Amino acid sequence: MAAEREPPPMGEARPAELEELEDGEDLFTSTVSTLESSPSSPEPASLPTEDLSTNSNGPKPAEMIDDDREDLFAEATEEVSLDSPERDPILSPEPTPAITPVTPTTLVAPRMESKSGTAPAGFDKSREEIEEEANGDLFDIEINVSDPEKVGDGMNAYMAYRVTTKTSISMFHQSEFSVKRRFSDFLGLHSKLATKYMHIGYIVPPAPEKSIVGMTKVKVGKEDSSSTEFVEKRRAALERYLQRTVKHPTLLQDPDLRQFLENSELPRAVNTQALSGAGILRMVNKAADAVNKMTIKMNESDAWFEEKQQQFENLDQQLRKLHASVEALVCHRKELSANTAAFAKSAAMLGNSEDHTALSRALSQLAEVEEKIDQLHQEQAFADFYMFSELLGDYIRLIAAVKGVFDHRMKCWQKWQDAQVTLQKKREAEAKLQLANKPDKLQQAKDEIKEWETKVQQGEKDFEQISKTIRKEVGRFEKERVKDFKTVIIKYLESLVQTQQQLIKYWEAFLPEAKAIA
Amino acid sequence: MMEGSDDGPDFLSEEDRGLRAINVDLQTDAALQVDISDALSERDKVKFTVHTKSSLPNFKQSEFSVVRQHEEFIWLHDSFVENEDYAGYIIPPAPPRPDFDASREKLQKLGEGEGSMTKEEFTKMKQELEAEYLAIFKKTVAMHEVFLCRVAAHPILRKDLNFHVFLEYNQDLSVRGKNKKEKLEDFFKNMVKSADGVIVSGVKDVDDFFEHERTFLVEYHNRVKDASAKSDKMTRSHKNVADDYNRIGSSLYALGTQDSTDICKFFLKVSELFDKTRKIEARVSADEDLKLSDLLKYYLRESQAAKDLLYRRSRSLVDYENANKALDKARAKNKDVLQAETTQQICCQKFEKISESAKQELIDFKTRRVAAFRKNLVELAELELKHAKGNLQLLQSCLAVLNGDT
Repeated sequence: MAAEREPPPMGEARPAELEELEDGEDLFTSTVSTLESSPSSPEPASLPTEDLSTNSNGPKPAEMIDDDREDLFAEATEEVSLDSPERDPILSPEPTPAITPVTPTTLVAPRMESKSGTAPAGFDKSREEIEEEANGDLFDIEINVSDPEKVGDGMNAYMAYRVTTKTSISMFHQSEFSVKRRFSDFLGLHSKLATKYMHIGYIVPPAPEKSIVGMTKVKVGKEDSSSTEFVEKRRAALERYLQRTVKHPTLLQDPDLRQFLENSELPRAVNTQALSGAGILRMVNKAADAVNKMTIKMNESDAWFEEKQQQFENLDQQLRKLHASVEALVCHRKELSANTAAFAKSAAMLGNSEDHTALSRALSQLAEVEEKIDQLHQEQAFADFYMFSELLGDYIRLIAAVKGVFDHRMKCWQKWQDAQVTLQKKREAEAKLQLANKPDKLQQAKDEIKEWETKVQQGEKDFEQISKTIRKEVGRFEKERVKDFKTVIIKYLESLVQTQQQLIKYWEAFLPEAKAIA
Repeated sequence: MMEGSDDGPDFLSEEDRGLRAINVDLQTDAALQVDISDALSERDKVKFTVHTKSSLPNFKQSEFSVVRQHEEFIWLHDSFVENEDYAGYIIPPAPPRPDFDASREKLQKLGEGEGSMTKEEFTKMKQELEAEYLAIFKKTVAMHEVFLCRVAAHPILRKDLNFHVFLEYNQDLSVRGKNKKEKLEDFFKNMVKSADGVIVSGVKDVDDFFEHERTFLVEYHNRVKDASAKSDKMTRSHKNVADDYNRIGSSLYALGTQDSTDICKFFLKVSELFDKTRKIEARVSADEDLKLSDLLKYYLRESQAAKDLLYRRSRSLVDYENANKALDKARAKNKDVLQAETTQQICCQKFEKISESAKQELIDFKTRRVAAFRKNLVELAELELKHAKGNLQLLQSCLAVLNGDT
């Protein structure tokens, strides 16, 4: 069972804990840890783009202001579309932990100084066992997102979705259960997962995108086909998102994910709002990161990474091109459906005015056939979209996540290098002090050197770890990708088969009618 | 060259009756067979080789060919329309002008964009556009041929002197296109005619048959127009879908050749499928265009020609009634009575002649129409079935391969 943790104390007790946990339980990683123990380290810059250093290391001033800003936007809903990934949820010491630290056994150890306080409770199974369970036949979990329901009115309204889980995994309290969640809850979940796992090399599936226009229409209560389509598109996207997330053996173990699936009430993830203070901070940091990325010039010692990055770049390009073509297909098929319907009506009118009875009847039959065919085209357009187009869209976003993970590795490397540089400086400083013969300062210098030596070691370890994790993750990703594409494309082709079979039925029924024209 | 071609030999009359029942694109009469055996596209001119086989004594040889251009067809058509003797017949509608502009533009754009696409893509698109061009070309040949066949099949029109000149005279007819002044005259004539038509159509017809025909034709013409336009749009959408399949096939191919995992074979197979299925979809679109859109367009023109016939008849009826009134006036005043009587008689004869032939023409129109629709609808259904079955087989065999691999 996951040990629920107290929210990490806000910073004071930190140094002490650090020492404790240094050679602490191996498999523990705190979600709230940053890689730097030194308060002077430039945290935002060195942290992964999407997730800023989370909480417990002393809330940064911005995040305190957050609470105030939250109130301003409390009425607004989360659907503001700035595509910055979600910020970390609340850091304020609330009774319910905003982020549940990851329980041991799930993460391989970047041994980060975990600030999160108490040592992890022992976990029953070892990590390997759990992963085996995940990959083997015991891995059985099915998620459905259904029943979108509008809650509330006006601009405060939102859609609530039912998330149903069916599973035989013992980690969950029941084998079948369901909860109600809203879109910001999903974003919140992704935010937490991304914060915990992306900077150590795990590819976290991205959440569906926000959309102001779509949601506003729904809120305003427009009951037209475009808003129902929007809701359906979102529901399907949320379902795929959860399904991908639970397929990941490591993420499946995450208590936040479990909480998301099981708990009937979830604290509202307001930091996902783009216009909140958190949102603005996100944007600023994203810009900073982009600049930093450009300036990091990494000495790639491992050709594998360079190769893979190039491959993903190519794949990304090709997928985008294909996606554009498929979107055009969806559009044209919808047009075809509309034009066929218009023609059907016109043919019916023509049949009415035709004064030769047999021909008139045949024309009416033609009109009926065309009407049925128009329905067929509509259904095919749905298949085009939901199977083919959305698959491509999902993978384009997934590849962005993969690229993000590669970027984290670069940053990790950079940190390691920086640590080495600093160590060098400290050594030089010590040498100088030796010559100058200031014994008291000398001791301090020696201490600092020790500190930085550790950091260099840690940096190297972290870098090796993230590299190892990425290799594994990429392998897994590629396998999933192959499976996914094959399954979906075969399903899509089967939809095409169905359409043709229906067409044959309709025209076979019409042919004798046409021949009967005397 | 031709003497007394107006009163053709009597032995044609039986065959005439048989010919009246044919639908648009059939010619079985040995006495006069016309077809377009060849066509050449030069810049913006299309040169049709009109080939005639005839056992009629009017012609010097029994088989001969000439080269004609679109303007000469129009000249022939207009000569029929302007001929008072033919007022009582449905004049076969003139073929539309060959229009390669759109296709040519696309080919040009393709040429300009050559640098921005891969070699395979470029070749593919070029082939497609060339096929499109060929299709349009075939269509325009067919439409010119149909016009000639209709004339050849018509018992009276086939004897027309201009028609024989058109068929036999192997020099350029020097039919210059109408110059600006003449075009303007035409424009005014049309305006007058439509205004007149409105007035004339207000005259209620005593004859039930014609009254019914008039109501029917007006409504039918409008609805055919609408159906023709909608059918066009539908066909174009179909073509767009086929084009999208083309691009998807290319993208899948690129993915297949670049991918490092074992999914590349998969992609290549699916890419191949899309290429093949696209060809079928393109054929579906082309066949719908031919069997449905073209059919509707043709009957749009024919129903207009039928309407024109009714207009001419109404016009002559009005003239007849006016002549009657003039005669009454003349008798009352006892002035120019003879002249009025002659005029009245002429108008009466004209009206009756038109009415008689018009009745037969309209009945034939219906027969032709029903036969043409039947033929085309049956062929449409058969082709749709053929293509759907082809598509189905492609998809199923591809799925079998893909499922076998995975």
